[in-house]
Amino acid sequence: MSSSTDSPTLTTETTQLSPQPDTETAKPTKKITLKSSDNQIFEVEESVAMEFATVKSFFEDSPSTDTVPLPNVTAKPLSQVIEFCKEQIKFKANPDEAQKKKYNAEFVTEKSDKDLVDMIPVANYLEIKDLLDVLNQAVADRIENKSVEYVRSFFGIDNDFTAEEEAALRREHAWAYEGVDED
Amino acid sequence: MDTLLHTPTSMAKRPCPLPSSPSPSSPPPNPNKIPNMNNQVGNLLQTFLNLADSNSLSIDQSFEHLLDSSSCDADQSLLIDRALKLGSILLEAGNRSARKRSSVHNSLTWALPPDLTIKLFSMLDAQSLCYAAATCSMFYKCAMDPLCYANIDLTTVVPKVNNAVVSTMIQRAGKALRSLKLGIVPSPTMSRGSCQPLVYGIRNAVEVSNFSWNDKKTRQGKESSTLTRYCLTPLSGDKGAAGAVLRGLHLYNIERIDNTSLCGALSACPSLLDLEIIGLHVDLRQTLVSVSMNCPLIERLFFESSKTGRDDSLKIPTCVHLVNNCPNLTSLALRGFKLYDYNLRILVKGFRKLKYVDFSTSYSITGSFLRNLGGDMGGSLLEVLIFRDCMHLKELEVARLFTSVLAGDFRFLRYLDISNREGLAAAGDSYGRCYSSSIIPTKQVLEERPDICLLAEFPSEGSFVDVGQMTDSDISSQSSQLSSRASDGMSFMCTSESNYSSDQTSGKEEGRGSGYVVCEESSEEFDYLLG
Repeated sequence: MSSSTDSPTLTTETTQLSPQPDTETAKPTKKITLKSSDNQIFEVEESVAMEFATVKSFFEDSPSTDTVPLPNVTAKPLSQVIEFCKEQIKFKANPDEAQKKKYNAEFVTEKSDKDLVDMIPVANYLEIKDLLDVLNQAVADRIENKSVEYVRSFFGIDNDFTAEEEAALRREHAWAYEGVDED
Repeated sequence: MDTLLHTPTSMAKRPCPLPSSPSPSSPPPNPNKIPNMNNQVGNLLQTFLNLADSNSLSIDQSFEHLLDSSSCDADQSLLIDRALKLGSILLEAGNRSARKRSSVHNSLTWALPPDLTIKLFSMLDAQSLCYAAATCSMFYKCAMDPLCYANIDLTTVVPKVNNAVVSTMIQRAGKALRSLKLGIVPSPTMSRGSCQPLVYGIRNAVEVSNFSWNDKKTRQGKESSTLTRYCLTPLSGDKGAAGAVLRGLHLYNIERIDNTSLCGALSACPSLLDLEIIGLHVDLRQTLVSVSMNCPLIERLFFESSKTGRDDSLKIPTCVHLVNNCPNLTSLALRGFKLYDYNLRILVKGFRKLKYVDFSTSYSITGSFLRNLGGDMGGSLLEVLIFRDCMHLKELEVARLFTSVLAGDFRFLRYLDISNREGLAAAGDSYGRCYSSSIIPTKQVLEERPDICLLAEFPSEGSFVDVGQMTDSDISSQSSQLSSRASDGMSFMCTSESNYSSDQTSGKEEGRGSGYVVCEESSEEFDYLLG
């Protein structure tokens, strides 16, 4: 259930990598090392890593490498993405749509807004389509029927419209501003 | 500080304006030249901006002082003019720079490329999309992409969408348009499904069937939809580009749509796969004629009458036509019409791919249309049969159906609903009602075919029973149970539709909660039913 990947260790690559040769030869427990942009090391089962299309093609191009650098990915979203993919592997081996749906729903509900938004580019970069769909839907659900100001703070973005532009937008979509949920 | 303030004074005495000193010929100070300012002006501005730190009173006083020191009235107004102009130029520059910084900040904060943002936005309902568009210019650009409007859901709880809104959305979608949902849907659970799959799905249909029947009740006496009969004309606009690609069309409670306008819209939608019409004032025959003429690819047809049980317009030629022209139909729901067995037999026999059938609250059917079906004659693929509250559904025909299931027909059947708030029409006496049948081989069917989920919910003899009000969560859990039932065979609670009692004036709502009965894989409960 839980493995070394849940507790990433900082930047001590050499010590982390030393057990690699042994595990690589033993087929069933082959591990692959991923390195995030903030230099954290993640050891994951090969099967999990192969869920990441990006990592998979990296290995296909250069099979001899032992560490895959992920320059666009920071540690926190990566660890969450790995957590998700581990579960998906189980569902792949043992299909149970209801259970999978339940897990996916729980996975996103317990995440903060920021975690969700941060994971989207990671899921995109690693090309994990299922996760991307789940995340997109979760974000869409969270901002549904919320005010403009809420959506701004949700995504951490600033207003860059002129007052005139903003008024014109409100006019254009006047119908949408009747009956908004409380934030 | 004072010296600084005096610098402009000395210049103000001359008619020559500050920014255009190299070319004294140009009369008014031109704000457009400010961006080209040289170093000197830059330094001056820098110093000038430091004034922002000093208190406003002293600036105020200094300005007054300046005005007083110029004797000529024209000079004074020139000073005031300049102060205002400079102020507004700076204000604008400040605002512009702030917006630019916000834009940069946004592009750094939001790591997703536009195509992914568009994908995310395409999952939003129309209203939330409008909000997203109003947050910042980057999101606005994304939110204007046609893909965001592929599935337009403008259903609302209260009327507020008008024709112009629909038209704008359809225009934005253009050739990306896939589905369009319009009208008033009182239940918020429905409008929530912003990205329901378009494909034929039993689950969707069941969800719909749970909500829709009550809606018109709650709608009564409320303001009508702001949409008019022309709300669908944009589908035919631009040489019908949008209508040509439309796959799904769902229309709810838009009172002003009539036969002509609906037929006009359907004629613009040759690719339609999924048509759902609830509570419109259109008649069954004309609508089906129009579907069979215009929508040869249709796979799902869900049609619920606005006039409970009174529309008996369906005729044999229409049925034949429909069957011949729309061979792909897999899901057919005609609810609240006065349907006859001979018509339905043509439909059920004729649609060779039919899997889902719902003729609930059809006043006149007896069930005889199912005789000898379920095998080579047609209807062999049927998975779901719903005949809820069909007043004339006969015990005898149900028994026949069960017998044919026992004989190995209806091999794919997994869901059957024959619940009726007035019981079935009894076998012997044509006016008698039957609340618990001894001739229907229910028990044997459930033993033989444990995969079938059977709903047979009748009131206790002679009374209408309202088995609890369904809550939204009940509905969704029921639906999900249906979809997952085949695998685990969990028991399936039945509940009557909550509007039975409100519909009937019999005043027997208190009923006997004993109600009814789970009819799946549970022989004890079935003994009860038979008892």
